[in-house]
Parts: sequence; structure tokens; C-alpha cells
Amino acid sequence: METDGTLLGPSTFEECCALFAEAWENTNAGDGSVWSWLTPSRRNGEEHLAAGFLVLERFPIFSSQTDGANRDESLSWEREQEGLLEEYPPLSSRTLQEDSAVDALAASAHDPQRSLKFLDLHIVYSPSYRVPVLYLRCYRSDGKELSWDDFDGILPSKQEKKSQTLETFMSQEEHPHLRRPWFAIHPCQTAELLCLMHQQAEGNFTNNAQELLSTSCPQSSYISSHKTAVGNRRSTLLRYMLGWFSVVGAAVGVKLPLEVFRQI
Amino acid sequence: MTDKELRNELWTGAIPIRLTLVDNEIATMSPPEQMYVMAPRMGYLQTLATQAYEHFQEFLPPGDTRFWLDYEGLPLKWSIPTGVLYDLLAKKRDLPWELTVHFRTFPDEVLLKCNDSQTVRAHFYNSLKEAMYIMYGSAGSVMQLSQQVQTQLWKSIEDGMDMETYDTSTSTLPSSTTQPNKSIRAVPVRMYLMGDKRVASDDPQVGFASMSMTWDHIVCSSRPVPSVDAVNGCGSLGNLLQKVLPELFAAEEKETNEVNVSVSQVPSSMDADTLADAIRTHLSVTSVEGMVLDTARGTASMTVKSMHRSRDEICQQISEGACELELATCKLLLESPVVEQTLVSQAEVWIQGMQLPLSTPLEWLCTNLRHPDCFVHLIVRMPCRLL
Repeated sequence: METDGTLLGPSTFEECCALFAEAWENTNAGDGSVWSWLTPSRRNGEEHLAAGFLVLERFPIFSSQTDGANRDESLSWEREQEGLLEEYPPLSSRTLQEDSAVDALAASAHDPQRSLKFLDLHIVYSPSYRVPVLYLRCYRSDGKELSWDDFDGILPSKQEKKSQTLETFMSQEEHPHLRRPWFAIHPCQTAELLCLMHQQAEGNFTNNAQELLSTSCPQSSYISSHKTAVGNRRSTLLRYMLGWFSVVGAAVGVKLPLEVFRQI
Repeated sequence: MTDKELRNELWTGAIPIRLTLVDNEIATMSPPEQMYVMAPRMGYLQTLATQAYEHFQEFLPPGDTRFWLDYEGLPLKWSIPTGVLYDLLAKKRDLPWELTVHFRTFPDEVLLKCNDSQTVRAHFYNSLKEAMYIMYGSAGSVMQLSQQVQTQLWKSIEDGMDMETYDTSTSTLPSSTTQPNKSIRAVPVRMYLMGDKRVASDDPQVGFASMSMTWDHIVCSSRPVPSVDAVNGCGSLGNLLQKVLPELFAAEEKETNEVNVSVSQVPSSMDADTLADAIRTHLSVTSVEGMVLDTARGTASMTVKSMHRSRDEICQQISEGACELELATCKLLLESPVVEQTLVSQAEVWIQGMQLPLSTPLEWLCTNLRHPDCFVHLIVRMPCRLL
């Protein structure tokens, strides 16, 4: 966006991340868990990456049991805003005997209906797509990481559209900064999606959304038109980030509280 | 060789590989025969999994199998095309390429999980979409391919590089060979920078064999590279590398005060001397040489030299929009600066198994040397200290 009118450049991305983290913290969207900006040293040949990435670690989520048999659809991966953590007594006060010996540790926070899992979320800049990309991993309370097969069938977006395979929106990718396998939400339609959202927000409502998606979108329009005032720029960038996260976050079961949008 | 013949060569290129089953997975008294295979350069090693399993199956201990390969202890990333892996890793380019087959202990912390060729197929399509996005600003054309065409396209790669089928399946993509010269925004480049320990050591005492490679010695990245960006000098392979890794070039590059300048919209009445004078005055340069004036097209090109200003200063003046000559509305365009480029010793640049001149235009690379995923896979091997 800096020079040629397409989406984010690496430095604007950094700016977006700061605004997003601030809005998240101001509204206590993560019940105390906050995003932090990490700047690992870049090596030669990595100058095209952003200077860092945004990290949210050990974000607790509750999911129903992963074998689909008695899944409570209404609860699965729905992160409840209050109180659920308190419902879980400290691990030490729970008895482990009732769990099978093999799976004792893994099951220590395991409830027949809901189990506690943790997400690490990274918001990373994609130089190819010029948009933020969500990288994630999920692990149980014993630290065991969920594999691809564990993921399959438990993500909310998967449950809504059963015909859709996990591959259509998520894949295992190499983390650009950490250079290790991570899961990532595909960025290939992010730009079009955001373009659509923001065109609507600005009143240029196009009746034929399909047409808008299939034709190349004037991606520069909404950000560059707001370049003038500082306040405007801030709200434009924040709206961009919140709009983006409201979609990709929901795909992995992390929802933004409504108050956070008042920060725009 | 014409560009077309070159493309044929690339599509038929293959590497002879000898596969040996790793010792600790042999469950029989006598070891299995090694397996020989010709692997297409632009294909993926994972597509050998079925064939390898059939070959080694009876020697394996019972249990689940997950195919992977290593070269001298380094697990091979299945997402990188075979020829790229070979150019990147094979020392002394020895043939056949000796790889070790594993069906157990998949190194999850290094390699992306791979169930079967469907995983490779998904990876291929993600790459193709990314390349299309870089080239045309949208991946829509790939997503609009029907399931049937997608299957056919993947088959053309999986089943041993069938160029004809590939061309048919991709005929609706803007990158198709039937739509030449469709202008692209940027060239999709996948770059592999390898700090080669084996050439890096200045200490002859350090043994060759003791140094094992890991993926930490290799920086893999995907990036859009502007194909025409004269001011930043991204027009050629050398310019790209200069930008990414200036240390790659020998330090003897001297301060140059020459710039190639192109002029468009030259009025037909203009003669060479008048134009040269105008440009000399306008850019405050000492001399204008090698003028080629084409009044029919209204273009001219020349080299300007300055005694007291550097190349960068002249370039900057032009890029700042100071491009209206007083005589007429002429537009000055900088050509890619011709800088003497020499790589530091022991550095090598490989594309499709070839070492190309640094002056090779990126756009030509993109048209002729790209892989089926539309990326130009570019390897730089260099001393470890540069990484």
C-alpha cells in the first residue's frame, strides 16, 4: 500500500498489529491474555518479511469431545466469555484415578463434555499476499500438540460446512520466522474478502457480491482514500485488522467481543 | 536452442536416483536390493512413495508406514521440487543421487506432515495460487478450475511431467502459454539461500565429513519481485541478488558514474545533437554517448557520464520526476544500470540446474524457466558466513 496502492506493506502491518493489540487489551478481549510483538532476528534473504509478528500464547479454548459421536454442537469451540476457567478447579485438587492410566495426564483437564485446550496464535505478514496471515498451533493441557487429524472435524468452520474439507482453508505451512511446521489459515482470499467488507462498510454496496469477488478488486481504494488525517488512518487500519480477525479468528473458534469494535 | 526447445528440455529433465532402505528398518536377514528410479526434475519426491513401498514392503517390520527420504542425514522437504533439492544439496552433483528411504520415525519437527500425494497436490495448488496472486493480483483463476481439470492438471505432474496435458489444463489461466505477453505485476520467486558449510571453512583442518547440513543453513523464502523497476534496479537476475544480498558480490565494484537513459515521446523533428545537448544540460552531466535515436518510434537511448556526480545522484534526479525536457515533453526512463557484477568466490547461482548470466532479465526467467507452480525457483549457494 505504501507505494503501489495494493494492500499492506510490512511497516503498515506493524502499525496494524500495534493498534489491534491495543484494542484487544483495552477491551480485555482475551480475559487478561494479551498480544505481544516479537522481533526475531532476520537473516540475510529475509529482508522482505516484516520486522516481527504478533503473538498470543496459551489462549484457553473449550471444545467438546473430539470424537463426533456425542458432540454438543452448540458448545463446541465456543469460547464462553466468562467464568468457565473458574469452573475448572486447580489440577491438584482433582483426582486422577478416574481417568485411564495411559491418558492420565492428558485427561487431567478433560471433561466428558468439554475439554480445555490452548491455542498459540501468531499473526504474520505475508509478502506474497500483502495481508496478515494467522498461524496457529493447538495443544492439550499436558502440552501435547494437536495433529492435523485432531484438528479435522473439530473446528467450528468445519462443522458449519460439513462438505468443506479442512484443506480448503487451512494447511500446514512452514512458519516464515520460526521455520518450523505450523498450521496456517490460507491467505489467498483475504484481500478480496477485506475489500468486500470495507466496500460495504463505506456504502459502496455492490448488489452482486459474486461479481465483485471474481473481478479484481480496486484494493487501494479504502486505505489510500483515508491517508489524510491521522485519526482516520488509525481507525481505517484498526477496522481492517478487526475485520480480518473477526473472520479468521472465528474459523479457529476465537471470537472478538463486540466492545472491541467500539475502539474504531 | 529456442525457448520452446528449452521448455521441452526442462519438462523431460530427470535425475537418476538410487534409493537405499535405512538400516534400522530392515527386518529381514538379507537386505533389500536398492531401487533405481528416474525422478523428473520438476516433480516431487513424495510421488515415489507408492513405488518405494512396493519395492521395500517385504523387508519392513510390521506397523504403520510414513514415507520420507534423507540425503546424508538431512530429511528432504517434500514440498520442494526434486530438481531444486538436487541442485541445492547434492555435493559435487554426483549421480546417481544417493538417497535413504525411511518408513518410520517421520521427523515432524522438521518436515510438514504428508499423508499421501493428496497433501502434495494441495501444496502444489497453494503454490500455484500464490504465484498467480503475485503475477496478476488474484488467485481466482486457479480456484475457478473445475475439480476435473484440477485432477487432470495434478496428474500431469504426478505421473511424470506431461507437458501437453499441463498446457491443456492450464489454458484458462492468465499465465497460459497461449496468452503470451500478458503483463505481470511481479515475478514470483522462491529463493533458497544456502550457507554451505562445506565450502565455507577457511580452516583446512576441519574435516569434510564432519559437517552435516541442517535446514538452518538454508533460508527458503517466497517473494514477489518487480519485473521492471529501473530505479531500484530489479530488472535482471543480478539486480535482484544485489538487492537481497549485497554481500554476495565482490567488493571490487567501483563507483560508477554512468547511467543508461531511455527517452520516449521524442518529437520527430528532433535531431540527435539537439537532444544530446538538451539532456546534457538538463541532467548536468559531462557527456552523452552512444546515442541511438529512432524518430519513427519517438524513442532514443544513450549513456550519460558525469565527472562530478555519482550514478545514484543522476538516477535520483530522474526518479524525482524531473523528466520534462525544455525542448519538448520528453520522458526520461532509466534503464537497468549496467554494473559490473561478479559474485564472491565460491558463490553460485542455480536455476533449473543451470548457472545463468547475472544479466538475464527476470521476465525471461519467469516466462521460460518457471516451474509448473509458476514460481521461479532460485538457488544461491554461498559461503556460510554470508548467511
